[in-house]
Amino acid sequence: MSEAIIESIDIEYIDPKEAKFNITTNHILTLDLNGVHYPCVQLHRSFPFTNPDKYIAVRDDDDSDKDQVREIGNDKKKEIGIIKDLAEFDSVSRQILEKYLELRYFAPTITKLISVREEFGYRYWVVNTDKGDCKFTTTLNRNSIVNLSSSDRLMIYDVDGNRFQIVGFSKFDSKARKQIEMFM
Amino acid sequence: MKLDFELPESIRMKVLRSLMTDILYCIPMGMDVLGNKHSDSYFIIGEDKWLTVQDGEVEKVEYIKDCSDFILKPMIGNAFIKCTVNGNTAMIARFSMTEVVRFGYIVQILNQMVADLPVSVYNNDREKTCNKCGRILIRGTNLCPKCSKKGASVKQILSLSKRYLPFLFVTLIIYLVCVAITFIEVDYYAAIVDSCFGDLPLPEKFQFLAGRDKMDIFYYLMFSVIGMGLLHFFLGIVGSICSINFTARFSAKLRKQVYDKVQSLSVNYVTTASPGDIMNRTFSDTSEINSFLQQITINLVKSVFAFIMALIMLLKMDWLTAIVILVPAPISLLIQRYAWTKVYGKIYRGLRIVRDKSNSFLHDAMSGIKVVKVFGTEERVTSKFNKLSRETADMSIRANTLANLFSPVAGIVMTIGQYLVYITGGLAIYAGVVANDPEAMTLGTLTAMLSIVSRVYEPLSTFISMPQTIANSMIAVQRVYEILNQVPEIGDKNDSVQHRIDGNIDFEDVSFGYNSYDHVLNHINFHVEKGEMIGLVGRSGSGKSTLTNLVCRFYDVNEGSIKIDGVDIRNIQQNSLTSQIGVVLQENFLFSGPLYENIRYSKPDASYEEVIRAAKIANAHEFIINLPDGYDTWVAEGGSNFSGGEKQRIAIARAILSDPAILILDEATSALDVETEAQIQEALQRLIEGRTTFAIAHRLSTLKNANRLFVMDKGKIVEMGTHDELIKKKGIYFSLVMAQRTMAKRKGKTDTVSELLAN
Repeated sequence: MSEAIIESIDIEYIDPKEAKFNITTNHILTLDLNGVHYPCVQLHRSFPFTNPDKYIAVRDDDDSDKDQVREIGNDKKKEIGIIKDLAEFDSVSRQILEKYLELRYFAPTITKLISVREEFGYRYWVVNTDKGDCKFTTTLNRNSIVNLSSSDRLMIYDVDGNRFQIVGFSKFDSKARKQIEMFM
Repeated sequence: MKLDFELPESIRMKVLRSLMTDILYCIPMGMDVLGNKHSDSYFIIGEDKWLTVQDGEVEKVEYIKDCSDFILKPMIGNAFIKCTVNGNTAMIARFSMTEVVRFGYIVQILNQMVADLPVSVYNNDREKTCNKCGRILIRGTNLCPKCSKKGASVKQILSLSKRYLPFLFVTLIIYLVCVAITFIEVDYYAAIVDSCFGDLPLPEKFQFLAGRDKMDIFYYLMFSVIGMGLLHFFLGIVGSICSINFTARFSAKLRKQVYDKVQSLSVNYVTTASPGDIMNRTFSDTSEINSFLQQITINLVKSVFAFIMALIMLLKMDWLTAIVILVPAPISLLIQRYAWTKVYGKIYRGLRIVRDKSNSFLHDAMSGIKVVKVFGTEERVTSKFNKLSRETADMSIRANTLANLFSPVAGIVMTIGQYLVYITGGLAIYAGVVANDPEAMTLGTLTAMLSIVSRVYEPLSTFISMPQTIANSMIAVQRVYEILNQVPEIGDKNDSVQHRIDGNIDFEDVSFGYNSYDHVLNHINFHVEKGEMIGLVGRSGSGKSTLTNLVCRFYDVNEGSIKIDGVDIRNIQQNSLTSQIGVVLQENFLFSGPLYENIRYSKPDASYEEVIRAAKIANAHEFIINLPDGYDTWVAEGGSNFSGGEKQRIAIARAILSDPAILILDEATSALDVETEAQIQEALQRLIEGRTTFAIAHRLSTLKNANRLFVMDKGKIVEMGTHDELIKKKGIYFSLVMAQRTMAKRKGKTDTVSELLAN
């Protein structure tokens, strides 16, 4: 019974053979699909932590009619379809998509923890990341560090909404690891 | 908020050459478009151009006139400015979320420049961090917890205790007297051993007893010691009473101050801070501060005094033995210090964390017990809890084992100290006896010294734990200080007035966003006559509730103004305003307590009769009177013993009692069955009579009595008029009514929508 219900709704997958993604020189992602040109699309990961390369929603992101009144409940910025798996795309398309995903999902990877100190109700971090050296501040709230149990990855959220990640936490420098574990 | 950062001179010259005009705005971006961190990357606006700088070089320059539709696009962990450049859409700048508020203003400025409007931005966002040290400023202030006068926090909190200082002072004096007594006793013991049990002459201070019988002297000395013991005992009781008085009164005062402050802060603060955090600050942190005051005043002073007294006495008795006693002290100090910093601290912190985890899990599982039962996942939940319990138990065993391991080690050092006293003291006595030296150490002195040894070591543990205790308490002090120094974002000004509301409301070019860079309402203009009922229609997120929140002044507008009877609501006293506005929500909160107290929450002095009348008008009397305890029925936490419709009617009765001039109904009748809805509609109709009302409803049939309807979309009012006018217009409202009618037909109902269309 439940299977029947679940199967009553279709997921519109994007056919890798039919879709042509492109990044313009102005850093805008476009899509040509089944003869339709989408001048500006956005990629939304369904499972950004546990399965970042699968089930990526492609949504229309054309803001050009932003001042026009649209029919309520009929949002033009609708979902065009879902990419089932990036691996199904040829290497050129995959590279384009990966590059764009990197633009949208920005979370420098911490390579080394230089110092972290608690003061006045906040935690001040100094780290090296793959994008350069960085200082940021988090609250003392345990939710500012999320441990995704199904993957060996930590996500740290700072007070401004920036994100930093530690990939391969179990292999991270043991002293720093112990220190971070205390905050979780 | 700063929008004109200084450029390094070398970059400035390059920028000026490209702009050919002055620099008007300059914001650091912190990264290049690939996300690499750069300190030399900027977004700059000149008089007619914008440009970006990367790595100290001008990267891109465009005439503002060639661009349009600047939008701030928040992504995940970063953001962009998107616009149309020469007809092509482009992402022109990428920056971290730290700069997003600044770029929100930049987008506004650029759009105004494109439209040839004079640049006017309401730059009312504060900087978040201290420009000297980079620490987060105390919310709502420009105060840096570090740079704004060291010790200011401790000083401020101590100043709160001023009134209770006499209690503290008396406690301190009493405890010092107690310490002194224990040292005075030592001389008595020495005299008993030397002169009563032995044959040595009485020490000088007891010479007045010379010539008396040994037993007399013994009784005198013994009773004196017992007397001192009793005095010590009673003084201890008085000291405890004073200390309790100090801590209890001071705690109550501090808690009151924190609670008052939280109440005075804006909805914005209270909704962004977690309730747990606020509760912690009100209870745990204030207790922590209390124990901190006790620690630094009573315990520290007592310990220092005892240590110095013991040291002086030991040196006076026998300097060599005193030095021998002091030798193990640093070792004891080191061991204890190691135990505190390296072992206990971490282990106990870990223990607290696993305990917190299991508590949170338990709280979650208990709150969602119905869901657990419905889906039969008890086993899964139990096994997860068992796992957490095991972790807690393991950690607890480790903590206690280590604690038990280190305590005896510290004790052994103390015992070694005593052995050393035995050895050196014994040798000194023996040497004295052999040399027949009357000045040599006596057995009494040795006894006295042995009793003092522990008093040298005891304060050491206080000294060791003190930095840790103070460090922990300082966090609490800072957190409480931070909350006490918050400046309410919404408050009364000196010239705010009491205003008797008539009910005319004007929105004049109102723009507002919960984040100033992301407006939820854009340039809203309307006038509502006294007694008019306005129906607000639109999909979720279109700004309906935000609009009503602004009428209540839960938030202040970013731009424009809201006027009630011609008076800007920012000039009306907050209390005066809210007491004249009634709100009925979809989910109404009932406080734990008697039902009638909940009804007269808005008017605490309402009589029983008034309560019943209000309940009758609200169609609530019928169900209340059928309850076994009637109006005295105890409302459980969150009103969980009442149904949605019952809570709704209680809330309406509450609103009726307050007799508001302005009424806000936010989805007040959704999620109710047809019969209940009819009863509530009837009650609402009575309530609305003669009051200016804003009613939000998704079910359009509930708005059929509205004088006018405002249709909202994306923060704007896109249609305005009566039901008939809007139906004739065949715009959004029309399509919405049609959609609901189709839906109702599908359900096989002759829905009120069709009645509505027929009206």
